[in-house]
Amino acid sequence: MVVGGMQGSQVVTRKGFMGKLSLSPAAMDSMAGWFASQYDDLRRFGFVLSGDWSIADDLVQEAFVRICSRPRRVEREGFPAYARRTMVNLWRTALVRIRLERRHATDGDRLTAPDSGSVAGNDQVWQAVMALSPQQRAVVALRYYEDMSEADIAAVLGVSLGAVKKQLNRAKEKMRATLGEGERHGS
Amino acid sequence: MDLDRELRETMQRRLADPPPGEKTWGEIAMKAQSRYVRTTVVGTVAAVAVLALVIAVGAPMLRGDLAEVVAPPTPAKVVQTVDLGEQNADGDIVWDGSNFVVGIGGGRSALAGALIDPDASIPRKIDGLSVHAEAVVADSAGGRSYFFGFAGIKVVEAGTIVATFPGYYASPAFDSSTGRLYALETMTGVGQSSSARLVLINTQTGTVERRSEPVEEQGIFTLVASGGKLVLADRGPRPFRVFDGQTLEETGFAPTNGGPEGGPLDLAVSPSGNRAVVLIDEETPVLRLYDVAKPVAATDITLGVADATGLAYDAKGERLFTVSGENLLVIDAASGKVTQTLPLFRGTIVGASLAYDGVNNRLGVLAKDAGRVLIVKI
Repeated sequence: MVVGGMQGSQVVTRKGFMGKLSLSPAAMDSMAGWFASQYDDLRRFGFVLSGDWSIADDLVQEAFVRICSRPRRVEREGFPAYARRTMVNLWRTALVRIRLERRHATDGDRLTAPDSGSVAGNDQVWQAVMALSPQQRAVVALRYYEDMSEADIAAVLGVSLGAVKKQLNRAKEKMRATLGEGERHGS
Repeated sequence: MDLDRELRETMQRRLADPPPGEKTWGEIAMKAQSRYVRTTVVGTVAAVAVLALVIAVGAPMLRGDLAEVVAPPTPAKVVQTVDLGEQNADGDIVWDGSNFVVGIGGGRSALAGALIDPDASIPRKIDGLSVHAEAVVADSAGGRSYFFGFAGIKVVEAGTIVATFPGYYASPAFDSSTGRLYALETMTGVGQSSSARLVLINTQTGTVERRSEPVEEQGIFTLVASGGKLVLADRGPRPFRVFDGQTLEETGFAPTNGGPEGGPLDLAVSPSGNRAVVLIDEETPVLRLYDVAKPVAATDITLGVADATGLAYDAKGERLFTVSGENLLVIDAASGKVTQTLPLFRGTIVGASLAYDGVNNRLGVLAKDAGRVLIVKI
């Protein structure tokens, strides 16, 4: 049953009872605007989270699909923060699924989950970032790529300022340890 | 090596020239519309079916389970305010049987732990704690508190460290009814995420007495022990899980309908271990009450406020406490009604930790961002 369709950036909806089964046209117009302005930034954020451009695309798409049905909350919290938080949570859920699938996969049917090593190439700092947990990667991306303050990161991820500081400190400690080991092995 | 500079340069380099995006707005909009229709239709049908079932079968049973003595509406009031001298005091407050005890994480705090003496306006520092002390739990019957951090487990009695155990664990929990100490032992997992094991820790030696099977977790979890049971709240497919306190075997789990951006903010278990409540981040905060034995979500309490933080039961499991904005909300656990709204101080409390003193019927409130402890006579 088709209850709406796309015509350019406009959503065409049926009137009456069936119209209630359509997303708000105003909300969809607003989302189209966010897509145009934020798609590239969100892809980059997704790439830091996952280490894979294809997965980054999927994360952005799924975030938009889910966010479209929650216009009130997006309006209240602001799209950039809401979208990034949703992407972090989606990626965490995806990782759990990947682990479970790997556990049940047979030797001849190994799943190809993102491999930080092959994606990262020889860049040791990037490899150290890829070794972080999803939350730590999110904090590092927002701090060092998007140049946000710790308070802004807390607002974006919906956690306390203390939690951001803790995550950032732990991430840097872990990266220093990783890079230190790398230097030792390389020497 | 200047790690900050290296990170900035690496990020700029790696993200400077991405391949073309694969998605179009038209494709996303169609998916969103299709998903919305499916969710709306399926959700409506399911809700009607569940409602009919609950009315026919479940409601009388649930009424019986939740029927408890309703506490008399004694007005609560703030009787003591203690300034920790630390902004952003991210940590926990617990009751050790004699004093409220505060543990502060964050790594840069000069005050890793403190006792709150009665009537004092400044805290009593616990010397010898690591600045990386991250979590604290208390044995209110034994008068002990356990600080968990990078430097191991520090056992504190009356403000003095009496023992130090090696080992690094997360999310400690103490069951006062059995005297058992638990924590999560983090394991390195595939895909840069982690799983963990529940561990039962000997309170005399600090050694691990028992380990559970690996517990899948998604990073945001709370572990609470009470009445011989362990309850874990997490974000994910099994967000509410119950474990046997002796064997550490999972005895059941219950799903929630939280969205991807939602999740448990806090968890409290009644002293009997029979009921639990999870503070969930929905459109507005929701308290979801669980029957731990089954386990099943019994009912939702919509608070009607914009935000909520911190959660605790009183000593009899009759009242619930949470903080919203600048107010403490006192909630009747049986009916779900807010019986009192008590202003704590001027200014929004962004993060709070709550602990109940069952001896003197007081509630300790750690207002984290303000770095302040408020003692409320209930």
